[in-house]
Amino acid sequence: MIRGGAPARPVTTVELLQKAERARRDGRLPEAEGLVAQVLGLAPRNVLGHLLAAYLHAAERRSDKARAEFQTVLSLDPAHPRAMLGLARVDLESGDVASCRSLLERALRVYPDFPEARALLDVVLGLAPARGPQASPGPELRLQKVVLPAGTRECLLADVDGTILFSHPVSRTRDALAGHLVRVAGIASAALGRAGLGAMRRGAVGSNSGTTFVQSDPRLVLALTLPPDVEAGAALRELEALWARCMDELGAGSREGNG
Amino acid sequence: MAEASGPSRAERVRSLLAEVASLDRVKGGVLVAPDGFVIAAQLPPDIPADPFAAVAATLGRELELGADRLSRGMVGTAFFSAEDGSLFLGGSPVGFLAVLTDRDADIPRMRETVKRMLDALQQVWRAGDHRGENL
Repeated sequence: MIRGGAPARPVTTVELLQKAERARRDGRLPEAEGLVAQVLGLAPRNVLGHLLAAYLHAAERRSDKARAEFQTVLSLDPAHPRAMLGLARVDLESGDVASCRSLLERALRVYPDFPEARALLDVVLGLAPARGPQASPGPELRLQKVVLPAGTRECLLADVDGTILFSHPVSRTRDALAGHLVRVAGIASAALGRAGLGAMRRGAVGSNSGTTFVQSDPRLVLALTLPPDVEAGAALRELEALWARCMDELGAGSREGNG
Repeated sequence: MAEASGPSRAERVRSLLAEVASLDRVKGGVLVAPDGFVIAAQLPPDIPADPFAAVAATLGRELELGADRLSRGMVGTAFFSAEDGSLFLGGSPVGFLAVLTDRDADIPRMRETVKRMLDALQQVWRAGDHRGENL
């Protein structure tokens, strides 16, 4: 006896990919990952399968796995614009600005009308090249007139190339902090500029361990970390006063140096 | 059934973002996943969503990674101001909420709003994860 109708048609990789993309867009990432794994089991060289796998790793913040998948896409299709953009993002996250820039420029050469790549290239071009490890930063300034606000956990003044001009306390992570703050100021300026609001002047980043208030201009970044529960308005006034004192002293130092 | 019980998850996310965008001094906002996928956007027509979201996600990732490298614990909300307005940014497992305001926005109030909205968006967006529901 024959039961039911015709035997079920096997699901194609195209259908699986469509389902996976829908699941990704709906935020059902584990389901999307399962579907992509099925696709790549059936067709290990499927470009869209590897691209979706890369996006899903990136969405779950697994940057190394995302990088490997974007690289696989580019090994199969060297001019794939979305893979170039994805890999550029991962490179920027890991601090490889040169590779990020090269990938974005390549993507824009192939596809000049690619707004996200253009936006990220603007970010990268706005970041000053970091000081090389061989470069001599020169002695740090002794800002004699600078009195830090009560409760200061950390204070750092850096050039936009990451050179530290002043830091308190002298911690082993200060170089990493300076680089991070310079990148944050640069990317925030790009975001504000893209929204037509102008370049970043001030900001604050809250974390469990404290709130870091930041003031910047095209040349310098000043950061002041205070306890997490500090009142933002008062802290920003402290920051502005500190900035003015630093600029005064830097100006005086430079005048003495020139005289 | 999910379909009969009210608005879909996507509609609720869009509605929450619309609520933020309608607040006094707010120009608009975007919810973007860490891979750059724009989950929802409510921005003025002169600010294209995809490129702005790409930069906002990059900023969000830099804040997360910096906090991790520097052992600062979890990043809360952040804000950045310029001559003509401010950007408020908050992160969650789903992604980043970026809200643009004019120059006179109340900073502590906006930071609190972003935090509250992120919690609400997170609850809505991930609500169907383990049930496999459609939006």
